[in-house]
Amino acid sequence: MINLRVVLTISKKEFIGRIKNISLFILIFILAVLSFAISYFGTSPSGLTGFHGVNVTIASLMSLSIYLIPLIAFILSYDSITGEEEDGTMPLLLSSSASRSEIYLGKLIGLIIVISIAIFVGYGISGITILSRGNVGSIISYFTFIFASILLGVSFLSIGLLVSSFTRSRTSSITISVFLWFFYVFIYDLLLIGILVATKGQAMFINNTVIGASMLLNPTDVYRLFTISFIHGLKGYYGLTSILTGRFVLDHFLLIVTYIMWIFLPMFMGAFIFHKKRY
Amino acid sequence: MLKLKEESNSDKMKDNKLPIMELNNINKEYKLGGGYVFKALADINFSVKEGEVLTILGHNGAGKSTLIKIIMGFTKPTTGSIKIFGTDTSKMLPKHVKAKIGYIPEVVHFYGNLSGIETMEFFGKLNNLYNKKLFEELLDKVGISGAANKKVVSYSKGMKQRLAFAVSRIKDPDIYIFDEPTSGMDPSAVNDFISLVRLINDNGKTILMTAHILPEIEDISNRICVILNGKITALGGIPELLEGLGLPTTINLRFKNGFKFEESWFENIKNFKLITDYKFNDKILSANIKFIETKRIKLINEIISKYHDDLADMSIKKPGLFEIFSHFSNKKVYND
Repeated sequence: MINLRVVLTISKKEFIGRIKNISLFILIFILAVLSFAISYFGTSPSGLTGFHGVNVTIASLMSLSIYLIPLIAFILSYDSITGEEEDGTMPLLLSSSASRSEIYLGKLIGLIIVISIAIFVGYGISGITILSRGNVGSIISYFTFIFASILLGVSFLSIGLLVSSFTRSRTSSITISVFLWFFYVFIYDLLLIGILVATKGQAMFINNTVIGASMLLNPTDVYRLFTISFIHGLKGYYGLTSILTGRFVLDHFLLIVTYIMWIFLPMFMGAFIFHKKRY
Repeated sequence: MLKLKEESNSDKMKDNKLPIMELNNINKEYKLGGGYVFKALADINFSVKEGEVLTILGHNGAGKSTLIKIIMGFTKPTTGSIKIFGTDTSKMLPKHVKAKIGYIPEVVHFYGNLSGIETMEFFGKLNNLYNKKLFEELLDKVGISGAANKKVVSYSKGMKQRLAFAVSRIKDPDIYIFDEPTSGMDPSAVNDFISLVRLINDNGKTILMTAHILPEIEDISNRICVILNGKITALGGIPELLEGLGLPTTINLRFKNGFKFEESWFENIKNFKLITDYKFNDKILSANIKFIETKRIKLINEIISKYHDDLADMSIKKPGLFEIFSHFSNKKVYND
């Protein structure tokens, strides 16, 4: 039986510990500056500057999210468990009446609060611009985008905490986290495109269905699909995912389920590993 | 195998106090590379009775800390079972059992960004306790109330140990488990710690701890358990172990100037089994005589009646924890 007060105590401790992290402040600052810059100059390739509607801004900010939010999530979570082990605080924590499930859940919730605030603050400046210039539809679209970005952060926090639960040191945890970040953000889509190009889309087993389904195996792609699926008028602004317009991967229910899977599957796996972990 | 290290069921039940912890055939093996297996613990059997202080002794790497980790559920035994308060905790320490255990690890680390009182509040909340006055009282009892608002990162090792002791008392547990609690402490801190252990034991709390050989530990321990190379080699109360092992007491006699030793007298009392051994030192006119404790009064009477005019001083050194530990560790080295 989970004791919510115990979970919230650990969440608060995790929150306070992480919010003081200087690298988090630097990343939030970068996110804020870049989001502001993108909201103004994101359409410069087409010869325009200034605010040109919420969809253009969101399409540009999505790329920023995909690079920075998983990175912030990994920086927050990579040493959440291994750090306690290396610092020697884990034995006392485990000897308290808190169960391992409560400790794990508490840590995840604390990190979720931190990343939610980071994303709100980071995208807040652009949000003010949209609030002042956009209509109600624009505001809803922007909040949908922020919500999707938070889900992206939460899914990577969940993955980061999983990594932290099965590794034994900060070094191995950060190494695996950086690899995963690089893999999901840079390599995975390149691999998919590479396969499509190499087979010229002719191979029997490489069709839009397979490629679409493969995109669901990458949380950053799920984020892209989720955002363009839920924000009306965004499809035209986005590259690879645009070709999947109307395909099954843009189904709302499928995307919600997939997102939930990307959050809860690593969470349950991590909690299970932490439960079994021996010291 | 020495009878002393075995603990039969009749031993467990011979006093009215119930065992609150029972370890049965605990074995712990670590698989090393190349198919090698390191046996950290082998056939550990003992129980901890309510209200006693049981101290586990052993050299570095003997398996003491591994055993504590197994009891605390940080690691699983390869085989064997543990029951604490009647609950099988071999696989995991359940919450309701953890709630009855106060624990101090071998090396104490706290969250450096929290103050002493914040640390107490944090661990208090984890144990569903929100009584700030109690936390302040506990800090006061361990003598660090003056540093309650200072960040733990600024605490000395001794202060952290005291804080750990205060934290372990938050739950008002029934049993305390301390892993090398006095390691790295200065003598005054050791004395303070011993006083605190006495205090909680006087309140009927049970204590299981691992420790180095210290006279203070000897004073507070009801029973000791000697672990060497992962095996229990002795278990019992110090007087019973001394009696069982037949470890001799030493009496040192210092004689006045001009005294001449009469070896025949010493040989005579040795033949009568009043003493087990003797050694003279002619330069300082001293004699070390070893004898079994039961012969003490008779021997002293004999010495006084024989040498009352020649004796300058007499001192007695009873065997203790060190001698028990040395007896078994020397034997182990010899056997190895």
